[in-house]
Amino acid sequence: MIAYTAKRVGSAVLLVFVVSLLSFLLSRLVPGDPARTILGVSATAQQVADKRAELGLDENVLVAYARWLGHAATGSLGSSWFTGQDVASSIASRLPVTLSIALVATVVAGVIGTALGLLAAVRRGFADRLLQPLSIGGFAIPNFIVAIVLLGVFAVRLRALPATGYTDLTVDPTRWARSITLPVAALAVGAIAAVAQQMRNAAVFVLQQDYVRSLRGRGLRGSTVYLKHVLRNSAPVALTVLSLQFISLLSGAVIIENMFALPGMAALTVSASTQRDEPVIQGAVVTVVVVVVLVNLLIDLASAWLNPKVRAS
Amino acid sequence: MSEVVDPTAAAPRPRSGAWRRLLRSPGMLVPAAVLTLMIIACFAAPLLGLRSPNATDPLHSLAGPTAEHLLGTDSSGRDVLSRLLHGGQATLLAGLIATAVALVLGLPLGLVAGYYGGWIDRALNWVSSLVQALPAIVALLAVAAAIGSSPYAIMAVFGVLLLPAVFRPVRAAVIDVRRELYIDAAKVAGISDTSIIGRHILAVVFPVALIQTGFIFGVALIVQAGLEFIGVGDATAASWGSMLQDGFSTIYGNSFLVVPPAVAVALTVLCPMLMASVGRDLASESSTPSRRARRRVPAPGSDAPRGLLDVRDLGITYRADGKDAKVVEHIDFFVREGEILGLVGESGSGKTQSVLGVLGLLSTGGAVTNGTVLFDGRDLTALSPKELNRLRGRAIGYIPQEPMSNLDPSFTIGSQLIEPMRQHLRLSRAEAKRQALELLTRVGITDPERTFRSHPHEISGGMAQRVLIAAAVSCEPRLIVADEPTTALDVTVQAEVLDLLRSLVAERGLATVLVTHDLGVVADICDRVAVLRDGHVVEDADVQHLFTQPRDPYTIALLDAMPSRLPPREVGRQQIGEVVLEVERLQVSYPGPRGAAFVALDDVSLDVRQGETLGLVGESGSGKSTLGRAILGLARVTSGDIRWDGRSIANLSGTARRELSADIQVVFQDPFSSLNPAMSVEDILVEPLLSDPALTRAQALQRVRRLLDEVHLPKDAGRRRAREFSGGQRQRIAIARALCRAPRLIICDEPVSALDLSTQARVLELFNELQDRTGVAYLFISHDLDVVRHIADRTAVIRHGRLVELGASEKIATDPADPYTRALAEAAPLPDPVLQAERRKRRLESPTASL
Repeated sequence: MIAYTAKRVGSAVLLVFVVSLLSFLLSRLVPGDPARTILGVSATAQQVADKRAELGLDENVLVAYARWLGHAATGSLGSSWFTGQDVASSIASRLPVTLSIALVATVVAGVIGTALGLLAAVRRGFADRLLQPLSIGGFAIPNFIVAIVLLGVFAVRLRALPATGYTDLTVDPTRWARSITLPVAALAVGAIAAVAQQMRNAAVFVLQQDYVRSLRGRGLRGSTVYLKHVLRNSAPVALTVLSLQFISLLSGAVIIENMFALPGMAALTVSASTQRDEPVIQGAVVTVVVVVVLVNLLIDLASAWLNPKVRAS
Repeated sequence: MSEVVDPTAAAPRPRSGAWRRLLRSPGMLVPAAVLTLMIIACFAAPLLGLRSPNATDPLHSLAGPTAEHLLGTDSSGRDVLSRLLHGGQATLLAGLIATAVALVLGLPLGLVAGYYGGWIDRALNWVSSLVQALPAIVALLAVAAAIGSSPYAIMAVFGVLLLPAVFRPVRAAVIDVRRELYIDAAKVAGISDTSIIGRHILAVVFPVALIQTGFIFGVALIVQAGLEFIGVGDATAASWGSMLQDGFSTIYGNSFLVVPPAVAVALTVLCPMLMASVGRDLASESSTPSRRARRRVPAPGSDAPRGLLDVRDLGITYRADGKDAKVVEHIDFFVREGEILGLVGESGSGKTQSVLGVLGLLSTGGAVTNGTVLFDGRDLTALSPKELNRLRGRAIGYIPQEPMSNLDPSFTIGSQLIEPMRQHLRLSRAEAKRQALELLTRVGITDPERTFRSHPHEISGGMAQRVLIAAAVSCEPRLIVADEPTTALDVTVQAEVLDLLRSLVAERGLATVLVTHDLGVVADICDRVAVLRDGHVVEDADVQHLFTQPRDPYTIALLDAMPSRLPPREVGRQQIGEVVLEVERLQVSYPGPRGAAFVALDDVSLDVRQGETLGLVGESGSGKSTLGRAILGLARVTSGDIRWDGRSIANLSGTARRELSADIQVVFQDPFSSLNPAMSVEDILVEPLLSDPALTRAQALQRVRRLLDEVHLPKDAGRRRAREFSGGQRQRIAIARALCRAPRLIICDEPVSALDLSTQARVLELFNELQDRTGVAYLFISHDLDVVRHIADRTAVIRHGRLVELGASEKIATDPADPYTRALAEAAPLPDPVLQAERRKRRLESPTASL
């Protein structure tokens, strides 16, 4: 288990490194002069050259990357080209919003999806036939359309939940919960569908295994067989789906935050993207990948811990 | 939203008729029609005489649907329908671009990674997981910042991000196929890598990729619309995403505006995904199974039960694809306390289904349709699942066939052992553990504490079977039902497990039903026997009677087909020539974890002469199959040499190996995996012939027809597909394939072990007949000394990768020099209850019993 953990951590660090390098190269090697864009067409050639020097654009790209990496290692991600704000601190203020909705949606999807999938696999028949189209529908309907429907019903018609705004968890847990309910629901529908579908297939497979017949042959209660043995043996599949779903939930959160006017990573990244604010984009991409890698690492380790063959080694 | 197109999904394997059913299925037709209509409408938009999508009409802004504006106008007075159709063009095109890029990259990369494995696979897999770790929209925002917001360029990059969705399932499918023996057979037949990929692998991979295409297209549309929704994209042109944004921003005032683009996006995404999902279900045939066959009223039996378990007129039916298949018709048997009843039959006789029916453990779709199962006077078929659970494990113990697959891999042996004791006997955890340890000692496990803590993968198959026996008797049952309890075990372990079972039955006075196909096991342990055939009991007799005076012709044929009753090899029946194959001091080892190599073969030397059969006997893990694979070039030789006609052929590569395929051929054990189920028999047999450039297809086909005749298959067999044949017939096809280029040596890797007794005898006869006619030499690998004694001139015995003994087959079988060979010979039960009882007595007293 220790060797496995070390290997996973090493692979995760390498992944963050490669992504940060690729993202840096992408911004620097693509044609176009950001200094000219910032200053506008009226700027003189000298002004542009000065700006390039100020932003470090005249350096060799690998030297520039090494400098960025050195700063990043100490927690500094530079400052925005346009607003001058410190990138690390603006990300720090926005990340909790994005994580709130993405993590809560992942947990919700994991619990509900697993329960639905297991139910369909054990009951088969009607429950199973109902799950199939529902899960395809849930998977296929884009989350922004789900959000529009939810907003239309719960915020516009019923006025039961807020349509916009965010309250921090530390300020008021109840208002925090109310402020993220609709965004989480909009995000979770597709993830629930995906988890339920995979969990159902995994559990159906486990139910066909010889050892399940042997367990039933020993007269064990259904609850013991299903909730202990079948659940445990299909858990790795559910966990793998969940780790993939977390990534797509982060992606979907960009759109959902935009719709619910949540002050998360989305607004920062979208405006940085349209302005080509490189330090902000680089910081945002690396931060998001670090989050993905950390969450996937945790899920991988949980999955490995559930597998006695890996745990023993 | 789900950018990730579940790459963890198991790769579906297409089966016959899947395509035809696919095209006829309404689940496929309806979404296909809707999608086609959508595409036509969007691309024909300029021809429909609609207003320009950007023509504003401020006087009629936010108008509802009218005759002039079928879907109304937006806040600038632009026609919604026109914008919807024109915008659709861009959205659909962008989706297509992403899909095409993902396919063009993912398909070949998946093929390469899956087929070649090794470092290529590891590198590509790492790249794929890197791409997968990027949240799509965040990554695309970074890309848009650098390259600008052209939707087509962004979607091309998105295609790269979607690559894992094609790469992973394609790779998984290729790895699956590559493990099939028919790929090994094609390699041995001298087929090149490109032909193997083209003929065997693409056929499996293509449907997988096609199915993923549907999902990818849908996901690409979602992301494309999402990006436009948040304002990344061409702001001047109409698109579904920007229309959604317009509608969304006015949702408080006019909530209709959001509906047309929302419906358009939802439909266009849903249709391809529905098609993909229907396609996947059909390809893997994993749709919801049909409901259970209905139970009919049992015929009431009035007379007193004949024993503790009394099964009368049992019938079992499976329901699949709307049809009922009767697997057991009328089966009648009973067993008294202290008695062992053998249920004997070949595959398909219904023996296993009968006992599963008795236990209420039939698989989904199966049901007892007639008859009664009286246990202690109660009809088990009339009990509720709860009532049955109170009997199973408590009063009735079940011992399954395959020891490893019948233990839950995720829990320790101990926790699985105490679980039923805690439930049925209501023991405390400590008391249950104490009793479990006692039981483990009783079933002959030397370190019970350690086994108790172990997980199933940490113990051997023989130990696992002992654990399962311990579990079956743990709650002191009165009846034991054992389904082929020793079939998966080596013959020496089988003898020990049978001894254990016999002593437990005697000690506790258990009634036992033992299902087996092995008449030797019956002679060894049973008191009475019921012989089953095609779901009927054909003979029911005392064990002594059955072996000395069988009545039914089927029983007689079965007894005659036993390998131990086959005649020994005639000396000098064959013209034996020069040495053709020499194996000298061969070593094959595999790298293990942390550098420790596993030595599969060590210092093995032997030779095979023209026209001769050399038998190679060993138990599982002895390395006997590895030797065959090394000669065939399927396993790497570590040291030593293999010579063919005096020329070294160890680790040959490429062309040189392919040239050998005319001389050395193979017949594998598993007739199901060794033939590509989707190919016709003719194609399977023509394939190796076509690597000979001198042969035209017509000549090849003529040769194939002659071959089919030689292996006694019907004339029309060539056009049928391999999967339509039974195990024995498939093995005949595999033999024909081995013969088709007139080889001088055939490696036969356990070619009859998967076959029923009667089939086995006939296939052995075919091997002899072909050798008489062609003078081919066989290296005949087997675990069964009796089979080898019948077919081989000389026999080599191999254990733990080393050669133990080599000599004339008759001598090895009757008067072995090595103690291991002797133990092997004595462990196989004799087909005579009296002789076997004597031999068992001798064996238990002799020192080799502990070997």
